[in-house]
This record gives sequence, C-alpha cells and structure tokens, in this order.
Amino acid sequence: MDRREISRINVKFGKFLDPFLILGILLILTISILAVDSLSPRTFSKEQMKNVLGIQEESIVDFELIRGNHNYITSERLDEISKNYFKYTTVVVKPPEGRISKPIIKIRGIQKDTNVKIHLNYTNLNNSKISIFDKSQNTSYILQQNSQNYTQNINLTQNSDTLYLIIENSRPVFFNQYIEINFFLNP
Amino acid sequence: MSKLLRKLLQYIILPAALLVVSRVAGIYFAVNFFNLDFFLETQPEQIYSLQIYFTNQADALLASSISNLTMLITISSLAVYYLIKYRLSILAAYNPKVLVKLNNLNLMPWVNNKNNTFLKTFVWITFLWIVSIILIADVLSQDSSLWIAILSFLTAIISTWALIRTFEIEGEIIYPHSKVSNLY
Repeated sequence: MDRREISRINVKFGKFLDPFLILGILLILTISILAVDSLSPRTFSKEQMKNVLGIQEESIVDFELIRGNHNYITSERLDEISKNYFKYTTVVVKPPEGRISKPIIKIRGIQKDTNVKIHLNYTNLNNSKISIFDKSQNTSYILQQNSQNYTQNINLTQNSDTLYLIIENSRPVFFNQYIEINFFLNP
Repeated sequence: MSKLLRKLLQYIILPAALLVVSRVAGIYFAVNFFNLDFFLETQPEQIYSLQIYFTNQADALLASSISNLTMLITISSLAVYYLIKYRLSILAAYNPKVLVKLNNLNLMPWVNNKNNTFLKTFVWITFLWIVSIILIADVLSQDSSLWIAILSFLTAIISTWALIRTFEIEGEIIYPHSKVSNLY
C-alpha cells in the first residue's frame, strides 16, 4: 500500500475517528482530575470546631491502656496524639504458632454510640492474622489477613468495655515483631 | 482525521501528566521535609482505590497546601512560558522593532518555532483553570490555604486576558483593521 493510497483512506474514513479523539481528550482530562483529587491529603482525625454558643454536645470518650505482664505482647504504649486520635504500639516477642491474645484498651465515658475507625498502620508480622476483639459485642474485626490490610469501623455502645488484640500465626516467628494501630474516634 | 483534534490530543498529554506528577512530588516533598506521619489506605469502592491519609488535621493541611503550591507553580510557569513565546512570535511578525530586538538578543530561533501556537498556549491555560478549580474546591472543604487559591485564580485570569489580547493581535495581522496599533 503506497502513501497516496493511505492518504486517500485517511481522507475517506479519517472523519469517523474524530469522535474517538474527542473521547480520548475527555478521558485524559477526567483521569488527570480524578487522580489529583484522589491524591489529595486526607485525615481521619478532624479536630472538632469550637461551639461558639458554648454548648458542648460532644461526649468525651477515653481510651486507657490495660497494662499487665504477657509472655509475648510487651512494651505497650497508648499515645493520645489528638482529641480523637490514639496510637497503640507494642512489641510482640517471638510469637509462637497458634493464637495469642491480650486485653489492650479499656473504654470509658461513652454516653452515646460512637464510631471508631481502626487502622493497622504498621507491622512486620506480615503473615499473621491480626484482629481486634470487642468483648461486649463478641465480635472480632480483622485488621490483617493473608498480608492484606483492612480498615475497620466499630460502633462502640454504652456497653463497650474492653478491646482485645488477637494474633494468629500458622508457624512460629523467631524474631521480635512490632505492631502500630491507629484509633480514630468519630472520623 | 481532524488535524485540530489530533494536535489537541498531542498537546494535552504533557500537562495532564505533569498535573499528577507535581501533586505526588509536592506530597513527597512535604512528607520528607517536615517529617510528616502518613499512611496509605485502600478503598475499593472509589475509582482510585489508593489514598493518602495523615494522622492529624494540621499535617494534612500542610501537605495539601504544599502539593497544591507545587502543582500551581509547575502548571503556571509552563503556561506563562508558552504564553510569552506565543506573544513574542506574534509581535515579531507584526512589529519590526520587536523583531530587531529579538534578533539582537539572539532569541529568534527560540521564538520562531512552529510549536508557538495559540492551541498549545490555550491548552496550558485551560490546565491552569483546572488547577484553580481544584484549589478553590480544596479551600471550600478546608483542605488548603486560601492564599494559594487566590494566587492561582489571579494567575489564570491574567494569563487568559494576555492570551485573548495576543490572539486579537494575531487576528489583526490576518484581517487588518485601521486601529490595529491600539492593540498592544
């Protein structure tokens, strides 16, 4: 096929490609705008605006670290980073095969239902199943399973009392491991 | 196939890519320079599942403002660059004084380029408007500083005005008018 023939075909059928070019332009525009929007920095931890009328309707929920000796779950810390953001960290000492658990957080001061977003921020226990167990609701919330992370939303009621950390391993781990979990109240 | 659409598609790819790259670069810079604490979250229900979360509101605002500013500087500097090139090429074609000045400064090869078209400049200024709209939306949702949005809006307005004025001069060259000298 020589150049003149290609040019003739282009003149004859090229106009039918124009709608696809318009679609292509729109697609590039939309993709770039959505990508930029998706990449905008966000936070779960929005500070509450001060009530100008001086009426405080927000209930104050308090998270308290449950200390105590445990063979594997050690060096626990619970830091209140901001009013509605708590960071829990622990070192898991050479966890064995099977399941280990420990009560980690005592919840106080719930006057009405409160939503908590739980996010496993970091761990090097990549092959373990890590979950949070709410004793009052008898429900387990998986944060990591098969190396996949899940952010969980828990609804805390007035009966909510204690949260447990549960770690399940299919084989023993021979090194100390680190876990960091974020708790966001009313995200 | 329409030549205009083909050119438009060709010109739109670079600013679209730079828009996303500058956003990521701005966040990367903010995180590293200010040592901000962040984590990535996957939300399968969204079109883009990967999202960047910061652990507090102040860090998110800082990262957002810096990434918005990076995006604005990148797009606006290139838009202004192409606008200046386009304007100089038009003025050089009309005004011998400008032509001589450019020649003395050895800028003719830079100005005399086939790529100095209205369409290319128009595409960059359109992206400048897109940046402005994104920034205004961010300010309305309290996710960015107000002055960055005002700066982007002013840059977009001034660039658009300069583009229209230059295009009018180009129009006068093609269809001469008696009061052409008032245009620039």
